[in-house]
Amino acid sequence: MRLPDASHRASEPDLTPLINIVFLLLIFFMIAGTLAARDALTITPAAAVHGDSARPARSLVIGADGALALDGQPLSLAQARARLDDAERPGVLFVKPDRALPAATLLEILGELNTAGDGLRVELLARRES
Amino acid sequence: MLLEAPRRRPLLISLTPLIDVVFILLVFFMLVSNLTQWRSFPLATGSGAAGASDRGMIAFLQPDGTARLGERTLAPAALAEAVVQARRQQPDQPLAVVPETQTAVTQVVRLLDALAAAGVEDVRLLRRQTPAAD
Repeated sequence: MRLPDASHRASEPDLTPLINIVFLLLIFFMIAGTLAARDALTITPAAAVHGDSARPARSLVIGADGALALDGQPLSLAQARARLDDAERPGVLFVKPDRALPAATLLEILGELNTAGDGLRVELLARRES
Repeated sequence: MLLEAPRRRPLLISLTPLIDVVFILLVFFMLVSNLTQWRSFPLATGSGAAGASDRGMIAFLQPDGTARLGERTLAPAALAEAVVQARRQQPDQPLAVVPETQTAVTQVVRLLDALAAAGVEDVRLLRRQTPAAD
């Protein structure tokens, strides 16, 4: 019996281009994507063309029924206010509401969160649409 | 003269484990990273409820996305145009948007989008006082 000898391995396809492509994909996803905690609420954000581009590190998610979530965990309104009154109060609060949320409810929630009255800056987030 | 035929250099390090690790990293980043891009609109919310000054413009945003400005009912782009024209005559005229009770956030964002396209950035979003609270 004759075994194929080692010189046959040289005819294997060259893997280097594959590795190049995979490296490029890896670098693309590392740079273009943001690593953030998954939101506790699943929402459908509104879409916008203009407005400032933003990369919010953390945001207050508001569901269509007015439910709140911050840092990947659901909160009550009082808990959210306590969290925002903490020492780590952000200069800007990014709010990510569901598109079906009544705007009056949104304003009510923001009014409740701003009872301290020290001018909480709020940025409304919408998904970018080209 | 007989030259020795060039011999293929044997690969010292196998590339296969490297490819394995890179593939795992790739899959990790593809699953974990979030490619959604966001637009943000600064919101000045009224701390004093519905305390708009009488020299400013107040647009009442209807649930169907149109806005009432004075006696006119305007689409978002037309409202932005009207605001720009009004500010041309009287600059720094404040603009307040009051969403009606049933108006959804998507209509607010659409209006803010149209206003931002026309260069109007300073919009106050005010809550409508319920008649019982008056």
